[in-house]
Amino acid sequence: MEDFAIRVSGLGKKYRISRNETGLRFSERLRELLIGNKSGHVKTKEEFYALKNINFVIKKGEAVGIIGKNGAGKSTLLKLLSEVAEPSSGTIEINGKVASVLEVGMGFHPELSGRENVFLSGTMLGIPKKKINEKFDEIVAFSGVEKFIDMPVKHYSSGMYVRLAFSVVANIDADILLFDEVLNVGDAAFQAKSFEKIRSLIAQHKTVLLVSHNLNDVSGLCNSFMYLNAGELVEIGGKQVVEHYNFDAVLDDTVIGEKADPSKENTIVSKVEWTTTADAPGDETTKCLSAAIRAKDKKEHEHILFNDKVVLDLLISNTCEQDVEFGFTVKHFGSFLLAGGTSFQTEKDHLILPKAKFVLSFEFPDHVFLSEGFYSISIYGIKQGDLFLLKENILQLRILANNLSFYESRYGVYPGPLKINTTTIIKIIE
Amino acid sequence: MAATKIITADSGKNGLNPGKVWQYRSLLYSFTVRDIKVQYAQTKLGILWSMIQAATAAFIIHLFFGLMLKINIPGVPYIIYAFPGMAAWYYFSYIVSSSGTSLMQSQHIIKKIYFPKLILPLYKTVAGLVEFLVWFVVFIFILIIYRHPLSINTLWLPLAIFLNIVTGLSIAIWLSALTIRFRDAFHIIPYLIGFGVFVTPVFFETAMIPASLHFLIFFNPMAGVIAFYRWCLLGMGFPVQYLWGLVPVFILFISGLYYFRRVEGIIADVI
Repeated sequence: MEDFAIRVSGLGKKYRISRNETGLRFSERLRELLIGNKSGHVKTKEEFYALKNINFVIKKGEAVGIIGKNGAGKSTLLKLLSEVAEPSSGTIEINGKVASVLEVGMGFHPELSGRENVFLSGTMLGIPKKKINEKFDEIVAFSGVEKFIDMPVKHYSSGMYVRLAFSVVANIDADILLFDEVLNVGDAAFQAKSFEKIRSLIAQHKTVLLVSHNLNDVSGLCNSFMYLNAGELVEIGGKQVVEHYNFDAVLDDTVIGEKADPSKENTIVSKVEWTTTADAPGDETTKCLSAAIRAKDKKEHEHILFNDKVVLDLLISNTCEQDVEFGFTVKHFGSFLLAGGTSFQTEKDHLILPKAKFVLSFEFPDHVFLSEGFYSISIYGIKQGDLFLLKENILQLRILANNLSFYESRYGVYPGPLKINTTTIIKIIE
Repeated sequence: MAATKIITADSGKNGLNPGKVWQYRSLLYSFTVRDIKVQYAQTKLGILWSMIQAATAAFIIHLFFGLMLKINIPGVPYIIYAFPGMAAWYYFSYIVSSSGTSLMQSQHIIKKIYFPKLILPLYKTVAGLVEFLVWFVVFIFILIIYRHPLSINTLWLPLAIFLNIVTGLSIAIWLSALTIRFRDAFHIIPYLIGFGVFVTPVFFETAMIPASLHFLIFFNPMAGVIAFYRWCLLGMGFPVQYLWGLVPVFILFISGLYYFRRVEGIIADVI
C-alpha cells in the first residue's frame, strides 16, 4: 500500500480565451461560416495557463492549506483534483475516496424544503443516503434551523441557508477532502463552530486540502502549506510557507521604494535611496535621501540575526536648523503594528536638526527585541505638529533565528505595541 | 480500498465507460426526484395538472381533427387512434427539449461537482417518464368512455417505451453535447419538434399520403415507434418496413455517445 494520498506530477491546466466575436456584423459572420475565414479577420485564440508544471506529494492524513493571491490557481487545482475539470497535461494519482466542496450550498434548490435539500446536497457530496438518515437530526441541530426544516429554503435568510448547507458539508465522508472557502460562512459564532468541525475532520486523520483567504484559519488548521502564485507552485512545506507568502504579499502591496529592483521579487528591501532631491520625501527644508536597515557592526544587506542589534539609518539633508521629530514603525508581516520608535523621546528632549547633510541612526535596544520572521518598516517625520514625511512599508526586515541557544530564546515574543527606546545618533557628513 | 486512481488529460478518449454512470445511480435518482418535486412545488393540484393537460389536448384534438375535419380511421374512433401518437410525440419532444438542453441548464453544478455528465440527459428522460405515464392513465379513461378494448399486445408496452426513449435520446445526446460547442444548436430544437409532428403519423395515417412517399415515413424513427404503440395498445397492423427507422436511431445513438464523451472533458471549461 502506498502511503501517499495525492501525487501530482507535471500538472498543467490551459484555458483558451477566444476573442469575442460579437463585434462582427451578421453578414461577416455568415460569410465566415460559409466560405471560411478569408476576410482577413485574424481569429486570435489566446492561451492562458491557470496552472503550470505542478509537482507535489501529499501524505495520508496531512492537512494542507493552499494559499496564494486571487488568480494564483488555487481553485483550479481543487477542480482538477476533484475531476470537475480535466488537466491539460500531467498526471494526478489519488489513493482513496475523494469528496470535494467547491461551494457551500451546492445542489440546494430554492423551491425544495430544508429537509429535501439536506438529502439532495448530501448525495451530491457523495454521502450515502443511509448516513444522511442517521445524521439528519445532528445536521439540523448543528445548523440551528430546526423550526424551518420543512419550509422551502427560498424563504430562509441567507444566514440560515448557508448554515444548513455547511452542516451537510460537515458530515462529508471520504478519505480525501477538498474544501474551497468553506469557512467564511455564517456569523462569527457559527464560523467558530465550523472551524472546530473541520478541525475534528482533520483529527480523524483524513487528508484535507483547504483553500481559504483567511490565513488565520489556514494556519490554525493545517500542518503543511502550499503557496501558489500565478499558476506556479512557489513552495510547499511547514509554517514558514505562510510567512513567505505574507512577506511577498507585503512586497506586492507596497511601493517598494523607488530604487527597488522589481526583478528581484523575493529579495528583502533593506535600503531605499532617492537619487534626486525632487523625488526625496520631505518638505522644502528637510529631505530624506535614503533609508536603510542593518545590523550594528555588520554591512548593509547582511543577514540580521535574532540577537543582533538592529539599526535604522536615515540620510537627511536639512537646510536650516530646526526642531524635527523623526520616527518609524515596525509591522509584523505588514499586518498589525508591532512597535514604534521616535527621536522625540521625552517632552523636553527635542531634536534640533543641524543645518547639514547627516545620517540619523536609530539603534534598537540591546535586549532581544524582535523574534524570527518578517517585518516591514515605515518612516515618518513631524515638524511643529505636522506630518511632513510619511513613507509606509518602504523597508523590509527579516530576522533570522538560526541555532539559538536556550538563553537566547527563553524570553519569548513581546505582545502588543511597543515603544522602542532607541538611541538616536547624528553623524554629520557634509 | 480502491486502487490508485489516475487522472490524466484526455480521459474522453478512454471509451464510453458506462460503469461510471451506474456508479452514480444514486445521483441520477436524486436529480430525478428533485426535478419532479420542483415541477409541482407549491402547486395545489400537483400532478393533476399533467392529467388536465393531457385531457385538454385529447379534447381539442377530438374536436378539431375528429369532429371538424372528420378524419376517419377504419376500425377505431379517431381520438383513440390519435392519442397514443400524441403521447409518444409528447414524450419524444420532452426528451429532445429537456435532455437536449440539460447540460446548459445545469452548468452551475457541472462547474462544482464531478459526475458523469450523461446523468443529466438521462435524469431528464426519467423525470419526463412520470408525466408520460399520466398520459396513459388519461388514455385508459378514454378507452373506458368509448368502451374500446385494450389489446393483449399491451404486454409489449415496456419495449415501446424503451424504443421511444432511445429515439429521443439519440437526438438529445447529440444536441446536448453540440450546444456546448455551438450554442446555435439550441435553436434547432423548436424546429425539430414543431415541424417533426407534420412528417410523423401522429394525427394522420400513413395510408393517407401517396405510396411513393412512404419510404420517407419508414425511415422516420418516430413513425415506427408510434406504429408500434398502436400495435401494442390497439392491435393495429405494424408493417415491417418501419424497422428501417432503427437504422438512423442506432447510428445517432452510438455516435452521440462517443461525441458526448469527447466533449465531456471540456464541458466545465467552456460552458
